[in-house]
Amino acid sequence: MLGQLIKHEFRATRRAVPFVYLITLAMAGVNYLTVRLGIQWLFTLTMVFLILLAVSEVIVTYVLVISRFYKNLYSNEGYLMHTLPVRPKDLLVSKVIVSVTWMVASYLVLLGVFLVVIAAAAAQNHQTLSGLYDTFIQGSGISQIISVPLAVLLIALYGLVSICYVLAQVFFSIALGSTARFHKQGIAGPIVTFLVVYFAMQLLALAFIVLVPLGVEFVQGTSGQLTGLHLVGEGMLRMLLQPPKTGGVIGLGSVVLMVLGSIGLFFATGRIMAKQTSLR
Amino acid sequence: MALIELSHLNKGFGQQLVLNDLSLSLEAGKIIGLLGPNGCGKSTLLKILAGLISDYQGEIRIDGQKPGLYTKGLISFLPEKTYLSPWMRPMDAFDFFGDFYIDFDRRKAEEMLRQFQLDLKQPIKNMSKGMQEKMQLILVMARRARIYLLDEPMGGVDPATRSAILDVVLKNYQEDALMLLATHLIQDVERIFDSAILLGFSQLVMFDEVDNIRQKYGKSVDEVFREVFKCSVSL
Repeated sequence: MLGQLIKHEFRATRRAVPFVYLITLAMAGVNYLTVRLGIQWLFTLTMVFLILLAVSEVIVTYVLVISRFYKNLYSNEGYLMHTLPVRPKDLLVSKVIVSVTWMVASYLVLLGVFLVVIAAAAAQNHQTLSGLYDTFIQGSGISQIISVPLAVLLIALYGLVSICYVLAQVFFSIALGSTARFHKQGIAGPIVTFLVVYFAMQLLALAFIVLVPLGVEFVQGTSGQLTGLHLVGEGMLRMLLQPPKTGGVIGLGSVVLMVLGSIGLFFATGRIMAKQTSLR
Repeated sequence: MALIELSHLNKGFGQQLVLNDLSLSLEAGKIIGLLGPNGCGKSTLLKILAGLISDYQGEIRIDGQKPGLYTKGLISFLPEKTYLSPWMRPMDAFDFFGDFYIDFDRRKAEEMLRQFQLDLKQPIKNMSKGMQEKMQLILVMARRARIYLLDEPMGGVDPATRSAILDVVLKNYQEDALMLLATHLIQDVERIFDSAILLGFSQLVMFDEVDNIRQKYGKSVDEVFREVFKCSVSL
């Protein structure tokens, strides 16, 4: 049944979400065309529009997947979804899989747009995108510290975890804020719950960064340039107590919290859906 | 053996108790009217049985099981609200029901759709309230379910449509199934009831066979209802 839920979830969301991407990509095409045609004023104008559109495209996708979760499970449509012969956790898993897919797609569109903007700007200076990339890699010296594919993989993983973490907090808040005890508050129930959850998670993140013994030590050379990155078994507590003269440690505790928090909040959301569902 | 067994069921919203110590035993093969004034707990009871409310106290057994995955497969529920997405067309809704309910009969659904003169490709958002209600009734009655829970199936429709809806309900109801039908329009519907449950004042007021009620009080169920729940209005 999970497969059927995912299929119908994509079917329901495919009419709204990709439309936002298409508008953004069309604008990127127009932007690139202005460079090829050499219309400077139009290039500047479309580039500003494009950057605004690309950023709002990610925000709009978040709004669409979050409102879909609320409307489909906790408004009138919930009367259909919660009476299906499926486990509540399958309802949740299907929503998470489809929402994460759309969010990843929206970030890929954002990335694509930035590449188009950079390529267009480079073309104006008679440079190519690959030329700019080589200049950046050599100039920053990043390839001597970490392999580029590994860095890309870590950034992608971090992005994925971040998306899950945001959705976990929001879905949990909607599920908890829609239980019987918040019925009188209406839509304010999930919103206030989210504000409380978000604030609590921020405090926890701070504690995790300082206290969890996991961090990245960055080593600086004599002229202050970055010469190395190492994983270390400490957070930022020692650095805060005894600030070093050069280099330092960035606590990775918040990443640990993002992973554990996502798992914990999704699990709690599933429990609430199974045990405390109460549609108005 | 009872198909639905309620034992000391309690459900409240905040300080207000809607269902108070309700115990009932409902057998298969009956059409039972669930009657009572506004706010007496009819919809709440149906929602609990359908699995839409899980924070209640007391015991519920549906075919011997607690409300959950198994019981949701047995129940065909028609809520008061429009639960279909506005973009859906009848053909999309049929695909959806066909994928989730093995007892959904698409041929029967299409036949009822023709009977109600609805278009297979008309989106729900372009349908009137009455058409949406017919659409949902089609989905519910096209299932060969063991339990039908209908909450105000004729709430927002004209008298002619009420009659058509009742015909559809009777024609497609499985003889060995149990149907619980909540309504305010008792006069229009009581002819199809085998039994009636009267809920009021957070409690069970009456549960008996319709013939017994008529014999005992010498009145129709509608008249008995008006007498039990009469309220004085000064003009």
